[in-house]
Amino acid sequence: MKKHHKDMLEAAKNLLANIPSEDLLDEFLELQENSCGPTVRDFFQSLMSSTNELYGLMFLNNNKDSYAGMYKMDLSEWSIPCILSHSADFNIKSANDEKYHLHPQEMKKNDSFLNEDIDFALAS
Amino acid sequence: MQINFLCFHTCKNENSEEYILQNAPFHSDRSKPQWLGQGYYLWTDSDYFAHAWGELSPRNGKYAITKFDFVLDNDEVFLDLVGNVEDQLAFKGLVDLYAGTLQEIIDKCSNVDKRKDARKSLSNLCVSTVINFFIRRRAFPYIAVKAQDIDSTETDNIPFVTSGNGKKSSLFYPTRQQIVVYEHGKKVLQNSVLHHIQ
Repeated sequence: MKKHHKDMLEAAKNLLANIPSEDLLDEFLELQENSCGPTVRDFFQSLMSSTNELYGLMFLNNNKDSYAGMYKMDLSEWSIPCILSHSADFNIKSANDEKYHLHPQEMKKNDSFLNEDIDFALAS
Repeated sequence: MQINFLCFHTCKNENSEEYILQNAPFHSDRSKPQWLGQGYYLWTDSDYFAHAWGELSPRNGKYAITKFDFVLDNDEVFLDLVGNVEDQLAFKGLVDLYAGTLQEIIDKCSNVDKRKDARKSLSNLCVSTVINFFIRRRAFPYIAVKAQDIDSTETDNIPFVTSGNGKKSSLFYPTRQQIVVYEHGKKVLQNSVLHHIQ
């Protein structure tokens, strides 16, 4: 790190050490309440991560020997719209360039389409 | 080291072309939180995302794009979170300092409900919170920040590493790179040209 980076961090350290704890916590909660955009975790992960990690896809049952292998995935709450926004006509292209076709009839019907941990069936 | 690149500002197509050219870039909406803080937001290098932005609400396809040269002689006041690893590490250091200090305070907090809320908030610490805290406390020495996100509809990717454990890394392109220029640094935006209007 260059000197100006170190100077910036030193100044930040001194600042944080000199703010009363209660004030710092209250200010943090207020800033978080009015925050927008990505979390720092997502921001740094997006610099080097796979689509699977970003969009919450996890292949649990990958049958490579079958022409019509079934893929079962646990989808996080917000990942389905992400996947569908990537797809045209429910054709899905995964991070490793394999193509999948989503059969809507295979979806397990739940009260909420966006239920967490809902199981989806995909056929390649 | 001098920094010089093109950047593009999208705004509503309202008033006259002369008005847009004389007044652009327009400051971000101060009544709403902004992810890199309040300032002037511009897309970098290409007008690609400036057009995409123009199609979105509330512009809905009726927009203008003004082009600028970003010219800065002192790179120490430019935080490049896209193309400079040292800047990224410095920002990560800032995040760690802030989060680490808060974690210690939260652990000692005697109010159970507040401690619970604060722990939850800290686990979702936002970029905007970190930047706004240090700006507010006048401990953020930058006049401009460049950052990017990966948009699920605009960004494609190709895998370039597959390790033995099945973990894949990907090259994402194009990433939505933008800059915010804070009010006191506005003079780095030079040679404005009305680039596109519709």
